[in-house]
Amino acid sequence: MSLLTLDRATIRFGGLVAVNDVSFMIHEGDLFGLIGPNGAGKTTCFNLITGVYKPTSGDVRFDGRSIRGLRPSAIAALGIARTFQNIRLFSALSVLENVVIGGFLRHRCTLTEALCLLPRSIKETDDLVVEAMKLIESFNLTEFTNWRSSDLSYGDQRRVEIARALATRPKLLLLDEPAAGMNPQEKQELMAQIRRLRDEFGQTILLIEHDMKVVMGICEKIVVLDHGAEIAAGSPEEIRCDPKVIEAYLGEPV
Amino acid sequence: MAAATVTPSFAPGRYVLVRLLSFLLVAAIAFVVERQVVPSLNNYDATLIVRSLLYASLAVSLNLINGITGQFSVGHAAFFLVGAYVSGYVTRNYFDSQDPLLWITGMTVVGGVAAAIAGIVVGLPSLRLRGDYLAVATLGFGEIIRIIVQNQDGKNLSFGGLDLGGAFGLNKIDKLTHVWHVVVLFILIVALCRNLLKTSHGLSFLAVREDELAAEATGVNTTRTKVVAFVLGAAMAGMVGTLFAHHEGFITPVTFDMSTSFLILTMVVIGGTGSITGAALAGAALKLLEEALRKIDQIPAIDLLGYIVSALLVLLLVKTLRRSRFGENGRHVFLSLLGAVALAGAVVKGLALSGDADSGYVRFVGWAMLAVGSLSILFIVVALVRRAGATVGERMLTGLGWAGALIALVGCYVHWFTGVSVVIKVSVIAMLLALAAFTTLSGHGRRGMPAFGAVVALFGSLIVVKMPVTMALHSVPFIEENLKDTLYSPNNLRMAIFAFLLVVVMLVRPIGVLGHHEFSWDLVKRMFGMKHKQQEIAV
Ligand SMILES: Nc1ncnc2c1ncn2[C@@H]1O[C@H](COP(=O)(O)OP(=O)(O)O)[C@@H](O)[C@H]1O
Ligand SMILES: [Mg+2]
Repeated sequence: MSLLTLDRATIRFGGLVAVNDVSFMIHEGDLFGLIGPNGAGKTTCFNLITGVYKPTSGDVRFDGRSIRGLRPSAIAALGIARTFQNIRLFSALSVLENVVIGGFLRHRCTLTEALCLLPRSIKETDDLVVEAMKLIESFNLTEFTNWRSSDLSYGDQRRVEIARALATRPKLLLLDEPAAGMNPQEKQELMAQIRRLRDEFGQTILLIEHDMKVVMGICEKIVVLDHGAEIAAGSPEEIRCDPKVIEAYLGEPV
Repeated sequence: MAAATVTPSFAPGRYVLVRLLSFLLVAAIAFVVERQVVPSLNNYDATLIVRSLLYASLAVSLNLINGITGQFSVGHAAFFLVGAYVSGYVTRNYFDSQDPLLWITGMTVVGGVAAAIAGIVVGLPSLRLRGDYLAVATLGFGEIIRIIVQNQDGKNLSFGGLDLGGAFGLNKIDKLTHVWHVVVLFILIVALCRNLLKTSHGLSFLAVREDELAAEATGVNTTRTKVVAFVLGAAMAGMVGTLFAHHEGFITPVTFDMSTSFLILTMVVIGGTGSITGAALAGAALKLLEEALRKIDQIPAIDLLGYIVSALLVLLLVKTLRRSRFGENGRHVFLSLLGAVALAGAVVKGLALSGDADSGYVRFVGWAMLAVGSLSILFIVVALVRRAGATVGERMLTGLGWAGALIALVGCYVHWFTGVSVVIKVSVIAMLLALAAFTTLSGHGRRGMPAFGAVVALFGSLIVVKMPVTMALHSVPFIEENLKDTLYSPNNLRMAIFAFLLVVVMLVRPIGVLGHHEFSWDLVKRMFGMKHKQQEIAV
């Protein structure tokens, strides 16, 4: 059974059909690529999946149930985490605090316990801090642990955002152009790390990328969007030769 | 902030010990306040303590909503009112020689719950709005609640004929509040907020402030979090209201109008949005300032105008200097020279006063000015010679900084003998000492003194500029004719003064004086070098 299913998902903004009748399935352990030129509707697809927008028609199913119309925090609780194309860290908070908040879903203590600082709230926070430190370490960010997150470089901020998403222990991780704004070397390191996440930890990942070359390198399954519509789907080889894709990316070397 | 310092091992023994010691400490403070401090104070001084602590508590409670959760609420006085009226009404009608401590504790709960309910009623619809819209909605709700209460005079317009005294308010509420109740409530409210921020649960409130969309995506239910913060803040304000009503003995609707909401908001914004320490300090300080303004003599309108114009001129001067070709050093030298001129002025004025004054007090002040002025100039010279700073400007500012400390010290000494309440005197001195400790001992190290010197220089410039400005204003026929005999009472100007303070803080430091900084033992340890500064502090 598939983990995530988009079933003829469509959303309109006034006259504009940003996502038009898009269907695809992601299975557990997939490293799935969603590509397309700028303005194709990729980010909007993410917003449909994570509940930021409700599809005008069609359905989104996750783990066997429809998540259409749920609020984003409820969808996150079911196991979908994401990063944002234009980084959205909690900028006044430290890197550590950002990642600890990622673990918020797994905390069990009640408001009263937190207000009275009862043992469980302390223990839980301590545990989350330890976990967060491990994640921070795995992204080589240890030296920045107590930095204000907005003081980090662009590339480091992107990695903090991925660490924060991973801290929710998602069943499905959505990455929106994670390599944007990075230099080629950083890009390569990040892609290797994403690959490792899947290979070593079995993390299911849906990756948006504007740069075709990057996606071709690591994804096994790819869906191509253009003007909101799905124009191709398949393996990198199939995509590379698809005339529609070549047309959509006209002028850009593939 | 909080999480960064958590040691990842929970020790039950230590936990119990720390809790126990904290409770003992609070009990000891309450005991000392009630048995030692209060008996030595007159009624007015005790009232000052109570009011400043109550307002500090109000500021901390609003900070939970505005600062920590980032929801700009402007109608906080309404929850203060609900707590005060509900508990006051119950006490007035049903209190009858029960155990007073038990009763006031119960009433605090009643006031808190009533305000929490009001918080839900106001919060559920308002919190769907953001930013300006939320501010307008809370402001509106706040006034609606006050106006409803104002019309409850038991006559035709009242709901259910309930008599809350209308515009005259409720009187003859039994005065059950002791000073130590207020101290304990203040500590309780601060502790609750502080505890919250120490846990991962509390971090979610900060997440909502920082970015709602990202908070939702990480699983934080932002609507729930906002409503919880709002209701908690309201409940705290309601508890404060209870102690307020049972301290004053009578309450009227005007005490809780928009200007009170504005005052509480000012405290939070000036203190530093998000900083519990900042809200508490600014709350106590501004309330004391408000009370002190009631006691100050009237000011001639032209003098006041002179101060305002000069303040604007000094601000303009600083801005222009920033853009000028002087460079940093030139700027520092220029400012220090203005400050030095002010000190020279103090010497001259001191000479005059110490010679031909008829009152001993004035002569004493004269001598003090003379001494401080000349010593301060000596300080600047010494700092210059001893090269206390990288550049000439920095050296001069350092000297001015020390001079400022000296002036503050002598000022405290002189003012000790004035008629101002001992509470205000002690608070001012405590705050000056805290400021001095921070600037000299904090991690900012050598930057502290010149920065303090710059503040002194600004004040000095204000005084220097004010004299010619006032003279110039006197020579303008239109102003002289119309304002010659006008006197302003600082008490009536207090809202204008707070607004002015607010504007200045917003211009100079938009995140408030303390920003997101908190007082913590780590900070103290760092200040005294007991703990090495971590790579970079994340606040
Ligand atoms: N909230 C919105 N309101 C109106 N139009 C939107 C909204 N969000 C996205 N769009 C439009 O949908 C189209 C797809 O955008 P997007 O999904 O961001 O593209 P991309 O594939 O580059 O991520 C764009 O034309 C964009 O302007
Ligand atoms: Mg996009």
